Amino acid sequence: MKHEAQDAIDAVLAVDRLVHEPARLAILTVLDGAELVEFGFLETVCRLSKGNLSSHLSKLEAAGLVAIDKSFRGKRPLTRASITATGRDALERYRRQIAALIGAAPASNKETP
Amino acid sequence: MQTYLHKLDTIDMQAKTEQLARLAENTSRYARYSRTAGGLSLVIGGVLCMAAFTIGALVDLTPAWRWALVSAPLLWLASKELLRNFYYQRAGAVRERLSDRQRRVHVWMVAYLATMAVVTIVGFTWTGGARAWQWPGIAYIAIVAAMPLVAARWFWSTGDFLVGVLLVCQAAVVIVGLSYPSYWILIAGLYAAVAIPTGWREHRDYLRLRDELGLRDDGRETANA
Repeated sequence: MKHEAQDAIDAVLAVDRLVHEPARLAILTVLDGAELVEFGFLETVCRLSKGNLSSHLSKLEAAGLVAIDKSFRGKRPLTRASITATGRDALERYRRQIAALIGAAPASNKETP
Repeated sequence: MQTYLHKLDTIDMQAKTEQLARLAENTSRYARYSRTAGGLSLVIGGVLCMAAFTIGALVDLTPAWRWALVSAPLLWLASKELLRNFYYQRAGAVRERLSDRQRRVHVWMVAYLATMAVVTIVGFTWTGGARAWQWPGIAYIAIVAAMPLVAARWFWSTGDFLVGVLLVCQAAVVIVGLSYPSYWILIAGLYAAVAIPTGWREHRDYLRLRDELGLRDDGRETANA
């Protein structure tokens, strides 16, 4: 029993906090559904402001989870993002950890209210 | 530990996980429209196909009619591009990640068309001799040779493939002064009968998707940053 509890604690602590943050998780999820995504689409579907989205993308880019491509369409700046192989692995690992955590939670806590 | 796990709202986590899975799926669906402009372009293609074959078979083809029929595939491709850029990508372009199966099917379709194009061109030049390389024979060869390239760039679904090939074949035949016999109206009608309802269903699916993603009121201006 003690071992199980220790394992569960380890599992909670092992969750990647960079990915766990809701906005960044949404960004990675959207990017995982496509090859390349324009900034505007991310902004709309993730319900984030431009500044907030830029900040989260920068953090994800610094960690190597996403790649950012900046260019111009005519005179307008065009920012496109894509998830990297590292990012896809991190997201997959995170999903497995969360699924395991949900599985480890007591049954009474899983019932629909 | 039990207490800590009790504090974790697993119901909420499970719901969020499902929402995120739905978000990823919706992004993939949006990306598909962003690539193919499926939906309305298929409806337009079906209508054009039916109209082109009916006109080709029933109307006495003057040069103006011939040029109109030759331009039908270009008109369709232009409508596809316009719809893609100004309608289905209004919230920003998303490039679809193709599965290995999709990629394989596309490659096979293009390879099949390329083979057919080579066989047709060889046959045409063999029977036509030197005349094949003069106007309008050269235009016929150019249209047939362009078909696999057009398919590689624009035909991303079976509907696109059927409608597009039919329109391009009609253009090639019409440019040399011939036309398809009237029974082809039935074949084009059959294609249109598949393409138009399929395109309309896809378009309605896109409208539902747009609502789900909250894209209804977002204009093109949000697409860039």
